[in-house]
Amino acid sequence: MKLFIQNKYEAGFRKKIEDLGYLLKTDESFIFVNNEMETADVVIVDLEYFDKIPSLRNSRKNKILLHSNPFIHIEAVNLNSVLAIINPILGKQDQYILQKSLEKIQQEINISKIKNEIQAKRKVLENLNAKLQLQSNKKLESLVLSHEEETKKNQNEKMLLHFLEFIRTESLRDDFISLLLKFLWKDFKKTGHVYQIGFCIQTSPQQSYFVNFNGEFEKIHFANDSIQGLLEANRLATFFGRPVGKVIHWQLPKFSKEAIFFIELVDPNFSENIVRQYFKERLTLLSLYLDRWMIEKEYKMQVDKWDKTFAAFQGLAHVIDENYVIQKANYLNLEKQTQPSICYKILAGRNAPCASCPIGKSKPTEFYLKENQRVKGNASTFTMEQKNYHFVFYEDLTTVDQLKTQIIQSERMSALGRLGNYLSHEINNPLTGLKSYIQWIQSDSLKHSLPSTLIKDLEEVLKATQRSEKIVANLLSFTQGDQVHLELGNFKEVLDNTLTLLKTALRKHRIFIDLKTDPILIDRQGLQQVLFNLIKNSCQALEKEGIIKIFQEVNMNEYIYTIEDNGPGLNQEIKDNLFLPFMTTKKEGEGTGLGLYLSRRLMERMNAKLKIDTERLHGFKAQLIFKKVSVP
Amino acid sequence: MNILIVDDEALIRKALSRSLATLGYNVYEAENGMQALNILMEKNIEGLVLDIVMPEKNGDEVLKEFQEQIPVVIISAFTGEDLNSELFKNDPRVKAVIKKPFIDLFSTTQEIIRLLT
Repeated sequence: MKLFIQNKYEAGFRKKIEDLGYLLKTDESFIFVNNEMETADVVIVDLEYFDKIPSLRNSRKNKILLHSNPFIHIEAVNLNSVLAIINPILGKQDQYILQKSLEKIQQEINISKIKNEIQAKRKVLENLNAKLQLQSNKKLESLVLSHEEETKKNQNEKMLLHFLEFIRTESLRDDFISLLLKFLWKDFKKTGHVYQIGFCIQTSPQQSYFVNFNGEFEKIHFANDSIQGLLEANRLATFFGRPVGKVIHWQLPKFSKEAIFFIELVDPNFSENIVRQYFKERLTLLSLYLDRWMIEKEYKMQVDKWDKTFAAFQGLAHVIDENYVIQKANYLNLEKQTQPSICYKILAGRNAPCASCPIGKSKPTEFYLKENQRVKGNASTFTMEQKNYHFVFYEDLTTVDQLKTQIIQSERMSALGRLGNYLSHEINNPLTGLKSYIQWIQSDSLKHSLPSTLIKDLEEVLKATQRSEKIVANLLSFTQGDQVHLELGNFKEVLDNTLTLLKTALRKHRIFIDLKTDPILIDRQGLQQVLFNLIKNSCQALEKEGIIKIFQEVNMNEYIYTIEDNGPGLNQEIKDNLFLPFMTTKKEGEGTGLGLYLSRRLMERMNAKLKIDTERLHGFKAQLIFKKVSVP
Repeated sequence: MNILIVDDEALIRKALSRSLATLGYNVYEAENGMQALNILMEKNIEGLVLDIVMPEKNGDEVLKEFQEQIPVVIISAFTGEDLNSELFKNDPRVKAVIKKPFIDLFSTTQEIIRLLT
């Protein structure tokens, strides 16, 4: 503790104060010094000094007043912070008071020192705390930040991974682009930044095709413009039917055609960076996969085109390798074959390459495949992956042959028909004349004047004319397109009528019948004629005591009536020409040879079929096939 | 009644005309279209039995050139499809077409009478 005393008293107090352990100074500057270390804690002065330094009066500095009268009232002297009043003589009591006062102050000083120290320490502590807090806050912030960044990065990575997986698995699908747009849309939807997303390819310098997706539906547009043109003139607006907001686009870097992805933004200022960043990370990858997709698609289209062209070829076409193994065929499903299919085995039923195989020959060759199919084969050779292959196609000539025959046939028929027509009409005239005149002669008016033998003879002449009429009528019906009267009837009924007509011819033979009375649509007259022809033929072919069987069979849609006999059957010469008109084995004058031809025609007019079994060695079998009718 | 029978086949003509004559009709005969028209101009024919295919002039030409309103029966060896049936489908004078050969003379004669009267 530091004390100040006036000079004049110094001597009397020095020892005591130093004994007490305090510092004593007489320097006046010691009283008020800014530096706390130097200033006196207590001033020991007399009253007069206060007049000298008036500011000391009111100051709060601890004072010990030196006065010879210790009982002076402090207030009366108008002083502040007086600890004690002591006599400068410093008697024992005064010393005591002085000591005690100083101790008190010392204590106070000590306490306040400690307090200050404590405060200082506290302040330091607080500071430290604050610093620590700051530090830890910063750390937390940075942790949180880095965590957020991590999460964002993670999320970003996740999204990228997801994207990668998506492309890898879906980029081979035909609808990849639409799936892609929808995928990208999902990623953007969360951000709320994108209004529309689209993909545009330039298919030719003045044509583009683009797809856009707005979250709900996808639309495809074709434009007569290059991509540049579309963007420059902002012609996209015409396709969307509304003014278009800001559109940002990216060229696809490794893509084989001109193509872009474009995005229409909701809020151009806010959204652009995020969207750009997103695309930046994905564009190269996307481009690579899209390119592959494009090539796959084009490749598939080409393969498809080729397959379709191949399959559409009217004749037979195939590709075979050097060993005649079929690689591709438009008449065979190769996948269903258990063994390698060999060309000459499958098409020609041969065990070795066909002698007339067109492969290696300079011109197409005509030859036969199995089932007597006549073809003209054209071959060309090509090499692929260092192997030789042959592409061969066959034009079917059998149909051509058949058509030719048919045309010749029908020409012949119509010529014949015209001839027949003409003849029959010409002959009818004199025949009618003959018949009418004879009838006239036979009429009542003249009968009486004629001898009876003449009348009988006339009757014979009449019969002859009637026979002639029948022949002519037959000839006529062969040429005419009579109107067919189709009605519901049954086979048995017509057969019964026919058999009556043939009673005499059937006399010698046995006939077995097994028929029901199912209704079929027939031309009664026509069917009767057919049956007549067939059974008459049988009767004529059969020697004594032949057997004729007539029975019916049924399948899903048809009734099949069979007429068969155990006669000699057909010889080879006939078999090939069965249904040709004028084909007959009967002797001249015994049959017109029109029977089977006519019969077939009659059956066709009834919408029915006539089949003759030509594979038999003995006997004759004919089948009449009628469609089932649905009777209401 | 005066009837004209036109046919190039003599036997048919004779048979028909004699048959009709016995029934009291006055029958004229012509063997081709030219003769037929001559007779039609000169005589007052009230009924016509007409064949189509004939030398010199056909039956349909006769019909075209002779316009008087008398009943006509056509006899022909041809069916309706072969004939220019248009020709007399629209001719109201033609009552029927009887096809040759006749079933028998008697019934044919009756039919002709029925159609012409």
